Amino acid sequence: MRKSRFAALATRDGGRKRSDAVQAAESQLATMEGDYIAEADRLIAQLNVLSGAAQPDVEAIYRVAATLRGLGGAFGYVLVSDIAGSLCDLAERLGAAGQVDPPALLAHAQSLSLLHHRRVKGTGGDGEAQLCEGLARLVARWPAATLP
Amino acid sequence: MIRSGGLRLDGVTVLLADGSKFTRKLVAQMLAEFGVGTILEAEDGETALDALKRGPVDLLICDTLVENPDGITLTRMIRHDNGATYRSIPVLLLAGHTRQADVIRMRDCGASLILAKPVAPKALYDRLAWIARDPRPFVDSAIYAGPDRRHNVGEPPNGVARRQMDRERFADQTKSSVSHDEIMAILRQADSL
Repeated sequence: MRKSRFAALATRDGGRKRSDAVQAAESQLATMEGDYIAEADRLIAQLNVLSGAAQPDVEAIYRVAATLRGLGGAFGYVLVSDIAGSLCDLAERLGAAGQVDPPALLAHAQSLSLLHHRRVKGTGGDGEAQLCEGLARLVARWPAATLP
Repeated sequence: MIRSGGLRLDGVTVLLADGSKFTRKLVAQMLAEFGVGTILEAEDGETALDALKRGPVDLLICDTLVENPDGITLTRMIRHDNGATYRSIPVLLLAGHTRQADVIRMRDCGASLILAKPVAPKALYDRLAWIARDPRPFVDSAIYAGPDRRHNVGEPPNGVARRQMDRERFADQTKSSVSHDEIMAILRQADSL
């Protein structure tokens, strides 16, 4: 079986130790936290505008929420990622049902604003857990999308 | 087999396709710290395909939600582009969220591996290492083209455990910073309808 060029190059002698490479990347990531804060500001502001529209565009909301979900946890803002993921679930369900639920969408956007502005890292405490449970109930009002 | 304890990525060209400029910057910084020689960026699927055609590219890292076409469609196009030099390059798909409608498409598109975002350095490095030692033959049939999905190459990197470790890494902040009144103010307006 012929190796890919990537495999042939990557497995040469003289590679950097995994622990060194990972540590260097984590250190670099730490220097980008300020940039993340600015990017999350922008994305959460978009989500609040989109969710507050008279007829929310759930596909646009889904895409912005998916981007935010992919960023928060990389900097330790696990709850921001979790709630953005919950918003993705909601938007997916609404899209499949051809419906909109502005109050539920807005509740997610406002929760993201609150946690982001408080800079809540990790999974938070009882209050945050209560908030996530409440948001999950809003998502559960709509049927889960199914495999095609 | 990775010798000398780690990946050697100088001389490797990685193409990174993601619609989010910040996400591209984030992943590109990780790759640079891993020692990747050349990192190319594409903001959409069409630009990524153009870069592949110009080549050579050794690895494609692509977000599933990149547009025009999306990452799943792009991977399928690459795998079915008969005669193209890039047809069998490793493809690592990044997924910010996976819709139910995309689960089967992702399984069948021919990607080498899928990594759920958020991307952490350890998880990304381990995926690259796994791809580097991936011995699966390339399957080419009418319904599927890509690394053999049935070939047992041992356990892939444990994404669940890694994700849990990432959560634990940031579990130091366990005191609530939101009050009961704030929670109720947000949820009551949604529950009342």
